[in-house]
Amino acid sequence: MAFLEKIVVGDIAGLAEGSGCLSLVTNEKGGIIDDTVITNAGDFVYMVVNGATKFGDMEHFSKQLEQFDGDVSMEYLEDSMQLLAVQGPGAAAAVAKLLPADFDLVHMGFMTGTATTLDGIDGCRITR
Amino acid sequence: MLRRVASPLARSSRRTFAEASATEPLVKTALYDMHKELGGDMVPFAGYELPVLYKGENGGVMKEHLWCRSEGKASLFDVSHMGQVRLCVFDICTIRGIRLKAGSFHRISTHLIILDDFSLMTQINTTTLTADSLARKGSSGISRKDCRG
Repeated sequence: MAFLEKIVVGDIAGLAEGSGCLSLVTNEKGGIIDDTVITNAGDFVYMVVNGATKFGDMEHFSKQLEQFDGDVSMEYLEDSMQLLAVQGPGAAAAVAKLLPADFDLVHMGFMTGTATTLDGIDGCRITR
Repeated sequence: MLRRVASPLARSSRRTFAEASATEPLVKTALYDMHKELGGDMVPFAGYELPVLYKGENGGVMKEHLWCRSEGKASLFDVSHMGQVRLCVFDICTIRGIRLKAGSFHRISTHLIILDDFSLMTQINTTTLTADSLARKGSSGISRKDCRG
């Protein structure tokens, strides 16, 4: 969390498990280089950055990580995890069909995320 | 102590948005074939081949825009070109699907074993893998190659 708060703005340490927020990636001078969604996934922090800027971001993160005194590991999920967005008034109903029967999408809060099985596929993550 | 896992940037760091289409082949997402079957007009987008628009009678800017906003309707966007990053403290890191915890024994492969706070080093190809001080600090670092196996 201390490392994250060096590279992005906002109260990341204050995020409850399963909660996420929109934040900004900043350079050494505090200039904005990207926006990002950060989620406290419990065992790890899950972060999504823009496609057009991701390689620059990763270079920046790596450089900052080298200088950071703490035990943080960073894994860039390079094309190993696909990311899909379902948007529109019927989005929740469409996604609900693929979720396990006991998954409560109705009460899932905005900007929260959790691990789930999706259409029988394990290891998926869903964020609302 | 080797502290961190860096990202696998050997290839990636050279690829920027501007250069992507000019110097390297475009990356296909897992849904590439599905997009093609459904009439996706595949174009270069941030280094990937993605269907910014679909052909056919329901395709096009206006129809797709309105569909996504109509009652009871939804649209699927393949945003796999976006960067996904996982950050964690080492002692709950996962290597090859095995969740590491301080004070425990892990056989990662026939070549690599991590045992509590002992440092074990081995060679896989030319990469030296190390893990140390798990118990001493309650957490540990790991060399950049480790999480990649």
